Amino acid sequence: MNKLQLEEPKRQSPVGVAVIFFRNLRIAVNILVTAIFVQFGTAFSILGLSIYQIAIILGIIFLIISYLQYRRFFFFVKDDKFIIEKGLISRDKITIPFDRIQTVNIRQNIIQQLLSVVALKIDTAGSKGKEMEIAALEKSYARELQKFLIEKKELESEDADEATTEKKEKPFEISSEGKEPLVHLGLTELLKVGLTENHLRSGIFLFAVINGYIWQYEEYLLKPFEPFLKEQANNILAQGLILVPLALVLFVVISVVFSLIQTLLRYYDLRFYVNLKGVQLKSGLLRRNEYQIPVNKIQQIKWKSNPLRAWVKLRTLVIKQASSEETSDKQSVSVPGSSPRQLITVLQEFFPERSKKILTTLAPQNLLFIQLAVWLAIIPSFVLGASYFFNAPLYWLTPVYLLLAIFFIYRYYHSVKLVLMPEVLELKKGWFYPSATYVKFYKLQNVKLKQSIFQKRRKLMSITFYTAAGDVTMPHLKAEEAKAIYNYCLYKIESSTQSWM
Amino acid sequence: MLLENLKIDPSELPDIEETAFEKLEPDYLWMRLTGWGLFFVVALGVLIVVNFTSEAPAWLFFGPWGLLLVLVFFVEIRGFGIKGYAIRQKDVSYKSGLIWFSMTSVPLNRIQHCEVSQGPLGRLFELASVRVYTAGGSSSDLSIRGLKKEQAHRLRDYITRLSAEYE
Repeated sequence: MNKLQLEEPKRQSPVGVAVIFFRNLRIAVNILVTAIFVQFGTAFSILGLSIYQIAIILGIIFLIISYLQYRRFFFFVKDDKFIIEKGLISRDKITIPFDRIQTVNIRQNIIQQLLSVVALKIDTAGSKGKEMEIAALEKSYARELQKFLIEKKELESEDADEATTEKKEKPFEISSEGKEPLVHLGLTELLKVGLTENHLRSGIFLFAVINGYIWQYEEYLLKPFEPFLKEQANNILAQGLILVPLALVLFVVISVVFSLIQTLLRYYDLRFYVNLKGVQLKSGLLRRNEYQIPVNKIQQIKWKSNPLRAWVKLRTLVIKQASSEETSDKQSVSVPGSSPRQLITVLQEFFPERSKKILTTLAPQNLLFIQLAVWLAIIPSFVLGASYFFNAPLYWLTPVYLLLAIFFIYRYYHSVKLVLMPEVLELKKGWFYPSATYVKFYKLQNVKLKQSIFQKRRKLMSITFYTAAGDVTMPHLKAEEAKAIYNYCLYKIESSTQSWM
Repeated sequence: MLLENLKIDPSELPDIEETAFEKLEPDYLWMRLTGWGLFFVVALGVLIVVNFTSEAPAWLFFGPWGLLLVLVFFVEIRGFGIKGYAIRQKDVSYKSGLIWFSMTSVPLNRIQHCEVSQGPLGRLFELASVRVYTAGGSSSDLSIRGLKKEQAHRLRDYITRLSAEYE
């Protein structure tokens, strides 16, 4: 506390001006480029000033604004709260009680890397969309502050539950100094991970982004080619048969390249540490991210894979923590190139009681197969088949589609399993994209039973397990099994005194 | 709490099915029907205007309208008896749904906070609902609707007091 000098309102590191400036610049460029440049081109002028002069003037204005923003940004500690004050015209005061802090993460984008400062981001449960980032701090100071906040937070939450007799844990600290990471992605592994990304998703994402930009800058990008395109139009139509497969190949190649670049940027020099206190992840090329999750914050541990990645014997490990938004896999700690052995190490670390005793393994009833087959195979087949009457060219695909769909659905149906252990539940799902989620019973915060009229006749129920980091559903169990699990979950939660969040 | 280490027999666990669920206020059914009634009146108005300006036969508009009306009112009235809530020593439960039945329980030691809310129709019928918040996203929150206003406040205070014991 003394070292941090937080009793008095404190400013960021002076180079924060630059960090804020570039942040503002990025926002401004995004807005201005689309608004002005595209509308008027370089010929744009106001009050007899050329676009370059305007750029310089705007730049100076931004610099002043950034400097003022820096001057007016304070953070300090008052009583049991961490307070951030900011804002040029309207003063914003963000108050974070220590016990509301969920995580404190350190980030670094390229500007911050050049200026050797880091950003500190504070996440709370429940408050959506509040910016709680200190953009520029000396690295050592940020680390101290991170440690201080987490310690404070732990103390606060412990004071709050005096009723429990749990022994006081030491303040959380995962130091990775001088230790071997469990997973370290070198260039070979990175290449493997990049080549086995979900290329279809990358491709579609890229296509969507580029498509959006092309329409924005349409005039500039396509106009020069217009005469050429017109001239070629007839030829192109004739060559359509060649061009379509060519476009497909191009799409695949670009998707793979894009996946590779994305992987390199996100996972470069990934180091993943595990110990009894929690997990820590460092990764990234231009923007170095650092995440840590203390062990009591871990809500779900999950692995998933895809056919390509499974083929090189790698899986993606995902560790989910409590979050105010619905946690998508991107927001949680994700280690894309873990070997099965490393996965087991992690599971063993956090669920040592796992696999010692499996109470029971449950499979969904065949209504799952029937429902999926009706919705995803039979109805689409009817639509596809009916297209015959409208002279659509692809109706002959119907039987191929039907067979393939039924096959995939059958394999999927057989892959769904709920494994119950005394303290942990495991939900396996997926054949093409296999995954398994592990949740400790006492981490649940809500259980739900569902029964549609189709299930009612067959005496089936689905059960959904909610954690602070999202939910998992086991479909179509026998009603009495589902109810027994429901009662068991409630019993496990209600008899637990461990801190779950 | 020593329960944790005890060996337990699943059949001896407290069974949610044996808990008597409290029924909601009958007024709440009237409130829901009023809400739907307003919706159908507005929809009818829109359909009449559309019908005047279009050449398609009238039944094409009013048929589905009537069908939906009958269906919604049937589901509301038949489904009302299914709705209910239960407060046990250590959790809060709510169930509902004729076509898609669902029952959910939030243990008191997982409740973040709890509040009473009342919409415009609720003010008219003097009904309110108690919303129980858990951590994380909103998908796991629980709402007990259709309570008398004083009762809702009492319930909120009760749940808040019980859940505070765990913090």
